[in-house]
Amino acid sequence: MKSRLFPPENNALRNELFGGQRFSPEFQTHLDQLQRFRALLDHANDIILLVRLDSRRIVDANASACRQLRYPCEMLVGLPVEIVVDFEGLQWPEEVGEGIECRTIVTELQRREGGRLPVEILLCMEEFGDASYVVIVARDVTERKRAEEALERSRKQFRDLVETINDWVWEVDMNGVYTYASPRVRDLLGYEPEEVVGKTPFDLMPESEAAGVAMFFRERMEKKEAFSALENTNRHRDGRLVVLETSGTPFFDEEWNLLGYRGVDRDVTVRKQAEHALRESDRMKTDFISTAAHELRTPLTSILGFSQVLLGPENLSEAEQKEFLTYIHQQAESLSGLVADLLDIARIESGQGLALRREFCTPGELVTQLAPFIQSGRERSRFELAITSETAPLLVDKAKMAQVFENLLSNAVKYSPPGSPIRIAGEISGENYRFTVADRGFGMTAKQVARVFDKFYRADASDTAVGGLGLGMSIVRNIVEAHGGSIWVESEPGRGTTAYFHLPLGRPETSGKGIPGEEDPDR
Amino acid sequence: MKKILIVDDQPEVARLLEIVLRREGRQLLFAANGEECLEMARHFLPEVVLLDIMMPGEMDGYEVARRLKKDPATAGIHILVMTAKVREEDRREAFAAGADDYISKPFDVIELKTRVDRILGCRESPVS
Repeated sequence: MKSRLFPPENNALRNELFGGQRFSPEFQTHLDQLQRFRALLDHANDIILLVRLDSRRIVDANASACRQLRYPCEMLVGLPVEIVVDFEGLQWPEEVGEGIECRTIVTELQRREGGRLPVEILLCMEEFGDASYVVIVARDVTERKRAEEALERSRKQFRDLVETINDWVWEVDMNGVYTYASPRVRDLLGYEPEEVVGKTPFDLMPESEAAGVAMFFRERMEKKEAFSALENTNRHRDGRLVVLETSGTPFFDEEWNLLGYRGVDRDVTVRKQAEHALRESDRMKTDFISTAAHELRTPLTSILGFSQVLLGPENLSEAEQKEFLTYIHQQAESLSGLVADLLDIARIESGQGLALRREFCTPGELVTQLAPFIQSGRERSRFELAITSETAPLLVDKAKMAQVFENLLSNAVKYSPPGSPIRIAGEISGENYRFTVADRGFGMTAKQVARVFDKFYRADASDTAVGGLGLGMSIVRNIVEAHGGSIWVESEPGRGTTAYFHLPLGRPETSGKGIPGEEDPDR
Repeated sequence: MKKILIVDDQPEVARLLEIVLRREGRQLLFAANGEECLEMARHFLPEVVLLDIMMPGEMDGYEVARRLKKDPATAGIHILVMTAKVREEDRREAFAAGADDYISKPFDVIELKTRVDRILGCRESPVS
């Protein structure tokens, strides 16, 4: 292709070549035309260089090139082009575009006094006369680059934020189809972001949930409204249900047409579970308070009633007076036991733990403590004792151990028919001493056994006549565990219940050096 | 002879009621559970049943009250429920089951005595 451009031309050259000659009108027309092109070129903002393909030297440069590269124009012309243009390994001339097939590269130009100019270059091959040239048109892209960098920084900033927060960030289109899902969706629902894109939120929900949420979402969409903290149940890839809290806000095009929603999902499963547990514990406490009030009223009925009779006008025999006082005393004792249980559980609940007053004693002594209880229960049940290694050393709080036995024994009595045997046994078992309390009573189902140590739990809450706060076994376990022991229960409906507990054997040789666990409020 | 049937599984409460309610010309009867109560009520046809709600066995006081009121033979017996269950819903359930009167434990023995006396007094006049 022949060039539409022109040979090098300037006024100095013209004067030198042609002096003050007047030209023919045709020549003058050509000359004017050339000067017009020259003016256009020099006023272009882009840098324009003409380079000979064979010598790779710059043979022409426009004014903008000289200005922007900080060269006097006469210096720039004649320079090897590589001094000015960084071709970044571009093969010359094979990779230079030809004809209208110009090539664009983004690179930098070297300024004369140092410093580089980021540019976008158009490279075109041209032939005119008997030589080939490369035309280089370079545009300063400093501003554009800066803007792009700023945009990229801002993008990265937002992407980092979006991908770092614990919430899952998403975008859906007008049809509710995910167009973006942040990687956090992996943690929340077990899916890869690219698996989620293309699905709708409703694909991730159980059917019943999807219908309700879809309706809610449609209404918001019609009103182009944002929504927040919408709780919805989703199915995790592994099948479990996950409760998410979703907030979203609509986004629009320039004409205010709704394009979709963007928002975040937060996993609130744990919070929901905690709320449920809290409600459950609240309910149990309320039940407990009403049970406790009832349990306290029962002995109070006798105490108040008999004392009122004793104080009343009726003439009572001495025997009757004594009888009534005995009732009052018994019921006051039972009341005192209930209050002690309440205080124990309050201490355990508040995290203070049980204060133990440990001392060395033997299984024999612990069982001897039970004599009054066994004596009074004799009419109802048959107690059997089978204690071996009676003098084994134990380091325990004797009063608390009595409480453990009394709880286990009174349960055995309470839940077995009159006259049936209750066996208290003890033996060394490895590093521990093992006690068992076994009855042949009504027994419990596996479900009841599983809950037997729960606070406020009573094996048969429907049998309201069997009194109790449902605290005994919970306290018993706390006492045994505070001693470093363990306790468990085996039972079968209709065959009876056996409670086992281990206490670690004490080592008398350590007794002089302070007793571990003594008066330790944290156990 | 007026008859009062006392239904409470706690012996000392039964004993207390015996002391408070005993009087010339009255017969006190005792039952320790729902089944016993129904049997004795049908047999002795007392004027009043003092009925505890929480009792051992299959039947609680509410069920006993329902059955007493259902049986024409015992429907006329005045039922005084006495219980340590004192929530409003317990009281409502007692009346729904057929209780004529309700007293919470612990009770004032004078008040209980007065109520029983009044019930028996009212029943005396129109009949005899």
